[in-house]
Amino acid sequence: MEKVLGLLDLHSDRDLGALTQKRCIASTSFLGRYAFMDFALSNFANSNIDEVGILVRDHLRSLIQHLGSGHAFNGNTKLGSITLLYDEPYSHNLGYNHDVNNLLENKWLLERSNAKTVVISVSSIIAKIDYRDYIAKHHASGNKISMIYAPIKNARNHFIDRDVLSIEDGIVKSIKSNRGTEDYADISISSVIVDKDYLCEMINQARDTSAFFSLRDIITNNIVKQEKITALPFEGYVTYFDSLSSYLTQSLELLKPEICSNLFTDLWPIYTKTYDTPPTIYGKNAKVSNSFIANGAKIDGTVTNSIIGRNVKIRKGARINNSIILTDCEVGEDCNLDYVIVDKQAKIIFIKELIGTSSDPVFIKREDIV
Amino acid sequence: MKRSKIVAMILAGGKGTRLESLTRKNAKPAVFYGAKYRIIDFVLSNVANSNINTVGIMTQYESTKLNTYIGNGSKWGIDGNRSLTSILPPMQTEDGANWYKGTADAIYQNLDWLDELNPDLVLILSGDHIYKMNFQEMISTHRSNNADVTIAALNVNIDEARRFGILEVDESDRIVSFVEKPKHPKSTLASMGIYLFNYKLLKDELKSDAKQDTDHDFGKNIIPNLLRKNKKLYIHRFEGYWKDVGTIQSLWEANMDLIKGDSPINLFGPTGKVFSEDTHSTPQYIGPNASISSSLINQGAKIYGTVANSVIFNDVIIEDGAVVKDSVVMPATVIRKNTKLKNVIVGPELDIKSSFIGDENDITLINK
Repeated sequence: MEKVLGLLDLHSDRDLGALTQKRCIASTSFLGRYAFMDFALSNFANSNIDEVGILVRDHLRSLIQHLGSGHAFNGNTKLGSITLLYDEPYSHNLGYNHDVNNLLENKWLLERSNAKTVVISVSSIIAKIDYRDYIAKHHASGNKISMIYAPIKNARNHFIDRDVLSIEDGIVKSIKSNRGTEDYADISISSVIVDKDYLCEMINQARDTSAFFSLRDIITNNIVKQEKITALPFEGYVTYFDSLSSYLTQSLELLKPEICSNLFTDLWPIYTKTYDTPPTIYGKNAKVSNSFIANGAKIDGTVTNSIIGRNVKIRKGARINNSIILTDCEVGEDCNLDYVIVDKQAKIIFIKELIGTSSDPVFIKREDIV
Repeated sequence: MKRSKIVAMILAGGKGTRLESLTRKNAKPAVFYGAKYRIIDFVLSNVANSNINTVGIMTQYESTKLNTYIGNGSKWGIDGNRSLTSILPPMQTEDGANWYKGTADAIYQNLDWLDELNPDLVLILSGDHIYKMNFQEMISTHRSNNADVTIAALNVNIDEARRFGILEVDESDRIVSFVEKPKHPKSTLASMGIYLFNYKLLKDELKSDAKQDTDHDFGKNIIPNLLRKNKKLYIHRFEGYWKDVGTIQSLWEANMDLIKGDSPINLFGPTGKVFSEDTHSTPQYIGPNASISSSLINQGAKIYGTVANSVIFNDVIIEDGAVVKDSVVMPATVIRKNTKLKNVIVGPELDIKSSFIGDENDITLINK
């Protein structure tokens, strides 16, 4: 099988408001036991892409904590590798801290890799993508770059600011930002397949054109210069996270079994850092429906339409509705939560009622006691 | 090989006949317990939590699954740079091929392995008991008594005493007599099958036992022999939860113990965590019409029906309208729509379509 290098580009992810003040989306808790990047890294792993570089923009600490050795994502722990790439000289300079500079700084990875083809992905777009099919189509097209896009029906309020491709005969003719003016749009899901030599050429070009040019900019520039880019359609389920409210609503959307089954199948395991937590214990007063519950939880209250993280305690009489409770939190007796996001290790004890809305959820900070 | 002061030897080769078909293609230590665990997780976690970093595990009966599960010991962290986990199956030697003929013979056949480690103490453990114990406390007892052998003992009630090896001790806890399964027990102190030996003595005893025609068994031969020789055998008193899950009934009871209001065995405690395998399952999903109470449920389970007072393993599916009460359902089994189960243990990877209401005093196993 052809050797392929995977790059997870965290520079182009947006933020999730207060949730990402001390972490990036990639390492943010998702569905109770995952981090966002698990899905992109599992796409690589399940597509037999075993050599992976992560282009880190910020919040290195939480990334390192989640990745550990990276062995959870490697088929062979000696042949495979996950390397964190960090643009140290420019990490605190907003203008310069972009993916092209990161790749220029860490060019050795591209130079040393035996791979001829590179797949680039992001962590904030969640989909189950078998890159093997797309890589074959990319080679068949004879072009140096291919972009994977999804035909989206609700582009008016989803994938805002992501790239819309205008496509003619399977070739990308232009790239512009989604301003939410149309229902239908061919949205780039930021999965790019590129010949490695051409990627090296492009990052040099970018540097010579403008110090602020990102990968997206140089690809757009190449389209203007008549470079042919293959557009490859993705027909499966895809979702995108770019704000605190999208974190709540898109996560809760996945509680619907018919939607969730698009991401989780027996043949496509999602790998993650595991904590070897005990099973969850439900008390005699527990009432739980339509919810994801991670391991290690102790539940004696009512939980509806919610996602409960590892080791969370829900006391008797507490009611959790439409909410996401992250790892190690506690919700005390008779507390009533609706549309609330509680960050790790927080305790809700004294305030008996926290009510948000789906567009404006209440957020409780990490380690806070309220 | 690196030298280690204390080596744990786990006897994990037994058949566990009374667990019926659960041990037909599986060794007893690899039998599932407690929604997530296998029985051997408990002793291996005890070894790890007692800071013992060298462990040999003697497997024999249906050992493939068990050997695969043990691997390099990483599930219990006994794979660090000062650690060693060795699976010790019976092997072919210059003298021919030998099965392990008894508990003492199993250790005897691995004296070469032990010699290379040359430990001061050898801790002999069984792979099929559910308990949490800090072996360092037992080592302290052993050292403060200046003992040759220390046996862990717990108090059982007089009716149970007939099932165990019963120890009689003097006022200093020195063992005076040891009788396997006595008809008329003289005490209620039962041996837990946990022996701490000074290695030199153990080696000498095993060598002399091997030359004789005995059962090559610690309880029947080695311990009585040492008592006859007036060696210093002491007990280490253990007060806590200990369960030999030898039967379907006791396996069910031990599972039910986990969901009692104040469970006698704490899986959630800050210390003495029970380590195990962590599957790459999804979080558990509880459906819109589900009802769950007083139950222990592992990741990957999907619950659409009713679960009460039950222990549900990873990747079990309980469909709409199904009712599971006072039962144990092992990994990846599906309980189909409207099926009613009560007082049963359901084996792994089954498709259950018919209801079964069991008797809580005579638990039924549903298995392949």
